[in-house]
Amino acid sequence: MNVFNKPNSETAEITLIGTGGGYGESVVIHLGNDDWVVIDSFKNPVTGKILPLEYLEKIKVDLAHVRLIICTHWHDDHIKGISEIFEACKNATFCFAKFSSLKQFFVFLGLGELKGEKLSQSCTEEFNKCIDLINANGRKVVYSSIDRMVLKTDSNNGITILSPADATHDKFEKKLGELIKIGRDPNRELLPRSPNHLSIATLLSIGQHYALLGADLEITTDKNEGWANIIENCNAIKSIKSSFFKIPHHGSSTGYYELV
Amino acid sequence: MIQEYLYKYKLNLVVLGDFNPAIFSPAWLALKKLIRPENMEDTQVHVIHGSFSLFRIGDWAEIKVNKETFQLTTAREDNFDLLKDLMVGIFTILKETPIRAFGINHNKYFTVPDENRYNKIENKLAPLGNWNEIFSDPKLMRLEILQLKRPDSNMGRISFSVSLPDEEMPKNTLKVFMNDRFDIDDKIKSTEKFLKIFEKSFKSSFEQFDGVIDSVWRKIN
Amino acid sequence: MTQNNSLSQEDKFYHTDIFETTNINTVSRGLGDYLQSIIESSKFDISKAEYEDEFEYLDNIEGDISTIVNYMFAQRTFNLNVRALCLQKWRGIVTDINEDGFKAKLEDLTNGGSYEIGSFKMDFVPIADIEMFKLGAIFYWSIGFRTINYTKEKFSEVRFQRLPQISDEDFDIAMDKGNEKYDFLISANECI
Repeated sequence: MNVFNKPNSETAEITLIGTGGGYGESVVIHLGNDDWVVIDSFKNPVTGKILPLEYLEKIKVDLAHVRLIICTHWHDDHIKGISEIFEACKNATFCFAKFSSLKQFFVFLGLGELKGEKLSQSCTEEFNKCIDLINANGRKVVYSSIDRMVLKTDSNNGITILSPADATHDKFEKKLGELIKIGRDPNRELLPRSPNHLSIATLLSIGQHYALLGADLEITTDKNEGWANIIENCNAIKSIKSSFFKIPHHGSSTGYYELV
Repeated sequence: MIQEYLYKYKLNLVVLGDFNPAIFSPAWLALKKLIRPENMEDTQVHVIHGSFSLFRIGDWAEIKVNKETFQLTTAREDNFDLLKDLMVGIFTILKETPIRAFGINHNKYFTVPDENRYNKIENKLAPLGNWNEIFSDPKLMRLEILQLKRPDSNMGRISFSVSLPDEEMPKNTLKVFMNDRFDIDDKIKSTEKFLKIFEKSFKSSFEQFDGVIDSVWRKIN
Repeated sequence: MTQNNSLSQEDKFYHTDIFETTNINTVSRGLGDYLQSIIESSKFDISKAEYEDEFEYLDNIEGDISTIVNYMFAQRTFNLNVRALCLQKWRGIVTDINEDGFKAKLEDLTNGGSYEIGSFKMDFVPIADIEMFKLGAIFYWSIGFRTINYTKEKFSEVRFQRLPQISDEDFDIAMDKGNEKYDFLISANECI
């Protein structure tokens, strides 16, 4: 089987690009009937090419058939190039986590824009570009919340959100103050810090099959966050069994939860 | 490759605009935390005056300012990024400065191991055979090529030259120079525009310069 | 060896030396005998036309004569014979700090490509930059050869980035922009 053949309309396909830690991760999904989804993005560190976009172009997918782009979280290794994908896929809806302190988060994004080229702070730069596309061109946006089905195709295939938890949103609000302080200092870059509870984990439903895509979600002692919260509180996963599990956080032990 | 003959690499950043030279001093830079506090001890000030200022910070940066021109120079390749940061820092603070244009000027000095090779390079760049009947033992002093339109979307131009060195150098040294010039057409937010273009173009300017040198070297070999 | 004598606008723009030199022609003009004697003795030779071009405005300024003379001499004393060429350059970001030292993510500025993680002892940080040393701090690390007055030596130099902090005014602008974007996003866009 040639991995660079476009799947036919009756074949669902999940393509993992770049997993293994280090440079980035992206998932490209064919839900069937030429409905495509892209989760996250990153660039080839040597060539600078946006890998999920390169893949779609290589297998000759009409980018107009990309229905949804999910930005699971705004760390560098998951977001580089996502604005270009969003721009190129003109019919795609952009999905990201909406939380109560989103307005404050936008202040943080504003600082990122101010710093501009001074820092290679991809997270704010990419996110800003996506928001600009939404605001300027009327592109669609859908916010993630637990158990929300953010995409449902004509053939009843879809994607449901499993995280982040409400408790995580609340905690992030407190962390934002610190982020803004760092954001104000042009001599410091933001560092992705564990635990990564803001990450959007998703459940893919294709026909009778399910696929659990773990993004960078990690475990925690707080049962109201991370994988514990999904197992305890998510309705979408109750009484289903996944055929496929994309291991979270690049295979790190912090992404392992026995009950999953 | 010619890069193995590299003897010296000097970077000179020039901004054209309206300046008050009296502002610029090591004390001011230290006050604004743009240089290390210890650099204050290690500066050589020649002039701080309303018409011109001229001083050196340690052995890593020279600053020359008159009313129309602001220049930063270093011959320490390890400090090129620091020079860029210093430029950005100064004009982030002085964000109301009217700026008309800026240039990233690269000066590479290559010392060729022997005279034969040097003469060959000279002859390939500008065949001197045409001049033998007119002058005795003609030598190449300077060859300059100008590209009037920039390859990017910015206004300005690029010039590239090969010449005899302009400072004391070992024998058989050639100076290779590129003036990467950008014109700023925004009169209201000229500093903001300057900083945006400068930060975006800084790295690619080096890549362009090296690319041109490599291309020329390949053609003459 | 000859030098470039042109003082056209373009040359003024990109030549580092405001004064260019040619052979001979000592000039004195309107600055007094003191200055004239300095010029004559300095071997700082410029042509009359060049002098007029560069010095004329000095006639109109009031200032300590010694500072003017210093300026003229600047070119002679300023060309410190220092040069450094790098074998390798990195841009680093401090990612972890512990008792013994720290870890940093290193971006290869010489060859490009992917990043590396390095472990360093605290004495890697120059004392002059200790105030800049924090989690997330950006630094430049270069290794190469440096020549000072004909003495060549290896060097390994670390310097932390120093850019001015975002001002209150700019912070307010960022905040306003952020709020504007947020308000527009929430109110104007169709959400599924």
